[in-house]
Amino acid sequence: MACEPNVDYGPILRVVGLKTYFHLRDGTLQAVDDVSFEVGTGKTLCIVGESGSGKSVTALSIMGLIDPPGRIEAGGIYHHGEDLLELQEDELEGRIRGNRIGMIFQDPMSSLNPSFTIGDQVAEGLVLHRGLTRNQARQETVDVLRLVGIPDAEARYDLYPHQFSGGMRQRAMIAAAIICEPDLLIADEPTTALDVTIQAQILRLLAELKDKLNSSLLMITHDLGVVASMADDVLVMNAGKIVESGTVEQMFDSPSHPYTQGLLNCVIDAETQRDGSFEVIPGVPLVPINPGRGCRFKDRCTRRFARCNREEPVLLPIERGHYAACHLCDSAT
Amino acid sequence: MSLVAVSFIFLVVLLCLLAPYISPHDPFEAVARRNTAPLTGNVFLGADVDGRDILTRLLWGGRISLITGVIPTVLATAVSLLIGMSAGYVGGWFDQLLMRSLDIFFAFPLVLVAIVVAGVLTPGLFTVMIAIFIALIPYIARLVRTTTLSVKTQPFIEAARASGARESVIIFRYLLPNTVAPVTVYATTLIGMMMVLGSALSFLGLGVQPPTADWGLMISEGRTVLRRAPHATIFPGIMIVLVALAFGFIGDGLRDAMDPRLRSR
Repeated sequence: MACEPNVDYGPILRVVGLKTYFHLRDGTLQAVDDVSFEVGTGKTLCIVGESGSGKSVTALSIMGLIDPPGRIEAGGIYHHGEDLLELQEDELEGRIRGNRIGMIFQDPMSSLNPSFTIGDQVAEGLVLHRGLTRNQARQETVDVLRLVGIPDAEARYDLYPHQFSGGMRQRAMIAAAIICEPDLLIADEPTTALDVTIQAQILRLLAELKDKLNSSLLMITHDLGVVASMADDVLVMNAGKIVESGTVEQMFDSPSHPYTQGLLNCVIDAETQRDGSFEVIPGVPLVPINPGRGCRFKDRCTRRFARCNREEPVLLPIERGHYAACHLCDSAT
Repeated sequence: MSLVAVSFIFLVVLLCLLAPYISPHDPFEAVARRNTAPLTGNVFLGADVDGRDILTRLLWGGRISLITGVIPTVLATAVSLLIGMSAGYVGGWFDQLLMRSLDIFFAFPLVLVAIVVAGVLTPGLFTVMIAIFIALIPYIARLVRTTTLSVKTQPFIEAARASGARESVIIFRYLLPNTVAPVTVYATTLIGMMMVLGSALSFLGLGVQPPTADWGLMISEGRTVLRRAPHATIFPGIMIVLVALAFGFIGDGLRDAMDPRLRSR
């Protein structure tokens, strides 16, 4: 059974040693390799990384939505102390997904069923988890649509997804994710597909809802601007591994891993970069199929030395709550 | 256009249903001289090679032709949905087994498959329907499978799973509605084609047997006197073409109506 929320201020979600591998013809893709982190109650954790770094697979692993050829090889995912990996599929469906943990997807254009009305889909959670009929769920659904800032919610309940703009669809997706008042919201790049102006609105909405529902937020993004405005804690991933983790202040004030530093340098500043001098991290991200020995960032790292080829760095504390997996940081201590 | 088509089909169905009450003559009895031209005496559309009234036979024959078009197509669509969706959804060796078996039918032309089935069984209305039913399944099932495969990978399926939807909910609320629409459109256009196929089978003597009235059969009987009495062939031919066309238009209209992106408020 789940513990009473908010009695202890321990983490709402604790992921320990998660390994999610995809067994492909070319070899085993170590999409998520030995990843551990916590999402504190009422906190926002941002997972940052490039495409293919394992951010989304981490989120899908938490939801138990890894399909073959993917497999969770090892680890534990504790939600209120209960290991989700031990649960049967029907328990996950009935009790966890959409009920205790809600998920928001990247592309609001294709993440809604085109054959049913917005209201029908937002109400789905109430139908699935509370056993209400769609008629019974209607008023509550309209209230939630209003809560996520959809004007004229009563009338828009009966519209189809194609009649909504991208921003409105994302609001509808958020409504569907929060309708059962989950204590953990997972948002997988919720603003990537949206206009900049809409992005800010959606981010503010997510922050407001998190407080209103007293829930925690796990946000996956590659946008450091999003991280700066939303996160309490940050996790930087590269090629399936955590390279650095810490509070948002630690990340932005004293980034320790060359990859984190590189990412921060890549942020485009409208003021200073009008001359077109963009910083880049050279090379392409390593695809962790049979990654071999040594650091997974070594081929792109400008500060590589002999030890990086031999030995894979482990996460070591730099200061309280701030960890990095880099030999440079190791020799510094 | 599709509205005109629907009205036309409705009218034809109504007239054929009312055949016993409104047809001017008995469909099996000679009521005029052989090959009487249209608009002479008591036969409005003329008489056929046996002196039977063509208008009467058109009304009665429409029943058979419509049945051979509609019923096998509807049944084949239902079976194809089952086969195609389970193949597409389950995937793997199950998919391979089902689809490769159906591929065997693709090695032969549709008409040939129907002829073989009709030839094995004794000729008759039931045989025509079975033949068309069997011949159609590979075509529709293939479309169902590809549609299922593309719908299955849509992000909204994953989103549904993330909201805790059971597999049955995924299949019936997410997969099925998004698969049925394009398949229905396809099946509707097939109805017209299958009426032609049914007529072709009757024409070849594998389907409905004389003296039963059937549009295809009427063409078959009329061809022996094509030069002396072309009307005996032309009128049933026109009916087949018009009804087949109308079903095609209905299919187009359905596609517009069932695609929610095009659905007007």
